[in-house]
Amino acid sequence: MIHWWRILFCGITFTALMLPAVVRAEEQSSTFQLYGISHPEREADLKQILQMIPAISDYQLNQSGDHITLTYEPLELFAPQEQEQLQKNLPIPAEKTEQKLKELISQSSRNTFELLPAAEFSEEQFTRIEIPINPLDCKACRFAVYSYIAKVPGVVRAKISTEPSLLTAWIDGSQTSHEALLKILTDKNVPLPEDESAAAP
Amino acid sequence: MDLSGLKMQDDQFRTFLKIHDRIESGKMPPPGQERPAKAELQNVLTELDAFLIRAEQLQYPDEARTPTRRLTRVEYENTVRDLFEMPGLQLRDRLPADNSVNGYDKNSDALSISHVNLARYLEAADLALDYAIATQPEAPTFQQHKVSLASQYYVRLLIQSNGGAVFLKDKKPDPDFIPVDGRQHIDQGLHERFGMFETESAVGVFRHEDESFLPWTQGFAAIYPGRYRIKTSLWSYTWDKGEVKPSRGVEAMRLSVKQLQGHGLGQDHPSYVIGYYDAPSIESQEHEFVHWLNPGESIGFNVASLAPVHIYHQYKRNLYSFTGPGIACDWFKIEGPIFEEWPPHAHRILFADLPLKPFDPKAKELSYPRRTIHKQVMSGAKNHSDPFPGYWTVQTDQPLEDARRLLSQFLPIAFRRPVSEEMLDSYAAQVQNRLAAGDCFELAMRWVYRAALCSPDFLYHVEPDGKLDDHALACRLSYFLWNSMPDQELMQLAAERKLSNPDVLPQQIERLLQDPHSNRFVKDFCGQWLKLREIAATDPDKKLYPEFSTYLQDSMVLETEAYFRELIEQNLDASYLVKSDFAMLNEKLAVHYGIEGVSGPQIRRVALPPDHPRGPFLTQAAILKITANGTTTSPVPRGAFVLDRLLGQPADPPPPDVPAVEPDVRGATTIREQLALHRDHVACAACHAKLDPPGFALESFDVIGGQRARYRSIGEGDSAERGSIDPFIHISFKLGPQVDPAGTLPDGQQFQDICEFQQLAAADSHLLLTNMARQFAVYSTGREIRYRDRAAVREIVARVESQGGGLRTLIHELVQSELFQTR
Repeated sequence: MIHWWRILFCGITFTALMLPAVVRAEEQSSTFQLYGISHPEREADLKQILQMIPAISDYQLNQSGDHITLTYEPLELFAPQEQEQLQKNLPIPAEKTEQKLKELISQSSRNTFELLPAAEFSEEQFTRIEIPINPLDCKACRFAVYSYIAKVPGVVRAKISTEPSLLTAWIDGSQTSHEALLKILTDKNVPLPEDESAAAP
Repeated sequence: MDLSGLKMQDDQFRTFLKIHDRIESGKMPPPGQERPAKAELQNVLTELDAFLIRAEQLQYPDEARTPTRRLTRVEYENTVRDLFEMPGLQLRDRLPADNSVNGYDKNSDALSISHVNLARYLEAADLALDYAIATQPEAPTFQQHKVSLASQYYVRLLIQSNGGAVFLKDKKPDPDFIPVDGRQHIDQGLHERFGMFETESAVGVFRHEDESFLPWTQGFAAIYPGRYRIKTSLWSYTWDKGEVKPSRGVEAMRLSVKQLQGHGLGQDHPSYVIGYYDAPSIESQEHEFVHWLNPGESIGFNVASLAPVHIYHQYKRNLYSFTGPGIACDWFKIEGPIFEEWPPHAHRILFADLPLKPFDPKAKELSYPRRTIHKQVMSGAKNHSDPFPGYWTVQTDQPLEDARRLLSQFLPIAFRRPVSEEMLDSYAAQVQNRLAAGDCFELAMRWVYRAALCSPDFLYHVEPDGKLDDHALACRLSYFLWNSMPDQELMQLAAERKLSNPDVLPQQIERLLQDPHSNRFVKDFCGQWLKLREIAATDPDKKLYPEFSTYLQDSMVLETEAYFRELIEQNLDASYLVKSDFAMLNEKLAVHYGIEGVSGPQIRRVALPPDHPRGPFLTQAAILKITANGTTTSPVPRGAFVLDRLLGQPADPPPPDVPAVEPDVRGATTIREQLALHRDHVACAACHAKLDPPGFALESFDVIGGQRARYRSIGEGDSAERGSIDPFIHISFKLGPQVDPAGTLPDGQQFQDICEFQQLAAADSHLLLTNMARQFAVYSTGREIRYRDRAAVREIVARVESQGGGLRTLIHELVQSELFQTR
């Protein structure tokens, strides 16, 4: 004997199991090298930027803050008109979604954050240099100094600290040097303590 | 031999006029000489009077008192603005400057017309029609935007590197964007990308505008012509090396309209002042007003009451070493365009309720109008244009009937009087011609409207000979007290022939005086009578008068206009032209005059102690500046101004072979000493006996109207006290010789200083009132007072004096007189 309540229960259970599959598309995760965390306060800026992109549901930063893993719904990254086209040829190629992620992050942050190809490295492989700079109370000024250095060929990581007031960079000595970075800072009128200014080429 | 039938030359007429006036005033025979009996003198005067009237009639036999005259360019602009209810339409500066006769551009002798005028009228009409005709079925989207002073690139530069401005949050320095401390922030472009300037923080400004800093709200520029509501929140503070403290008082922020050129970047844009707004100490004050903006116009601002300070140069861009005042703006909120109805009045007066329908601009069967696509001209502005609405135009199934209907409504209003059927037929025929030539309805009507706006019926004051009919009276009254066309109420009364009714006319005079449009009369009349339009003709020497500023100059003009308005409002008598127990001041002027207890930029009535020289036109800074040359003063031009403009007794021009007196800025000799030689010249003595006394009395005031006991010099002299000059202004002038303001009037009365002169001048209020009657008559009727008008003027003055002698009464009596109501 089939009771009506059993049928109702099975129907509700079946629907509940199916609904998430209908509502929630397949999430993916990707890891990128992250340009833009010049100092710890920038994490709050990053969080704000990511909240502007609803397709991104989660993120994880590595300890040094130079790599990020994003969890997102690929289809939701695209505008509705594009989604219709893409749905006909699922799954969306990874390069396409990753390119879209890069565009969204760059645009939302006005290029103060960028996603680059992942390139994990161990600090021991590279030379660590420190360049004292005059204290910079303004976060945009700190980012400015970071931006002059972080993308120089041979620089794999850069950070600005306030106490002490330092630029710390990990470099490939075959491509760049302490002196070269010092010259860049001097040319950009970054305020340096007197002895550093004197040492600049 | 009877010569009375011969026409006299102008100079001969003037000679006989002088003889008459000197006998009448008792100056002839000269004092001390034997005088004929009174009856004999009266006979002579009666004969001379009749002789002069006959001579004048021979000179101007058939001419009406006022020849046909066109609208001045100010009248033209006001008329088009009022016709279309577009109060900010900028037309005046597109037209050639008007000439003037004795300072009045309303004088018909000044109002010539040339092909250049006509070409400009065509352009002006096109502009007005471009703005008036609706080109889409719905009003432009109403937008509201909040804009920071930091929206402008140059303000950002000050905040980031030059130290002329700072972000303030909760009335303290914003911790997220610290003030420059000798080091500028790095990389302004990156700060912009970082969004550092997009903050809710207030912007505190220290830097006064100058030739390289002319700020405006770059976050907003009008796209569509119309009314916009502008709100702002202002306060002031003292910056003390990084701390925000209460300010010294209420500071003044000047707001202006900037007419952006090109893409809105760069600095040099024409502008005009909207007003000066209170910025009280620490507590924000909100201001709100509605203002017309044309496309490409934005709001400019300047910390007007602050002295020029360059943190960059003077403090090495270190705000932590600077202590001084600043003015902060929390925000600007600009919303608009505001339309109560659509299409607006300007369109409806042309096309009534005819529907707007889409058209194809590529269609070949008719010529359709070209449309301007409204675009945002300013880079970085928040407000944007609507999506292009397509092509729309007024269309009708019965064009000829509708054309005639529309013209029969528009033309009488534009021409300020009824229009004959023949005239209507001729305009309607032109519409028919344009339609036959392939124009669509809108183009055909536009062609005819443009013709109407350039026709003599629009451009000229049309007045019949002899007594003015009600329509001409409505126009003369309206152009007198509103400087523009009559409104609907006046036109209705004229149409019903009730305006000249002695019960109705006084009511209308009162209505016009009480309406805000009468401010145009105040401005225009003072601009011409007292030559206020020349206020900026000279630049005071920066070393001699370092305290001079645009704010002071603007305040001077506001004082004079407000004082004139107060004389009318309170119906005060003409003695107030030269002596007063009150002044119309703001703080800037009060400090300049040494009067305490006035705060803020708003002009208000301030009671003065007895025998205080300030207050009347005679001692107002505007008049004193206009009658000086920026470096030195001279009794001659000042005396000439007083005689001509206040007393109504202009001096003769100087003989052609007498050289001018060169001023001595080294301070070695005074102008009085230099003039002494001049006055001994036999050809000069008679005029100088009249000119010099008021000029000497006014030597008590320098070129910017400040009172002085000693002349300033840049050469020899003693060190000068700072006095009330702002502590941030460097002073280097010295104090030279003593001023001697004493003098003797032509009748022998003596005075020692300006106060005694004022007492003597104010005693003859009849003379002052008669002068005001003449000045009003010239302004309102467009013609000089001739000899034969003197009786009418005397009669008006007598009636006014019997009612207390007030200037408001004078306006009433003038308008109700035959002099005013006759062409």
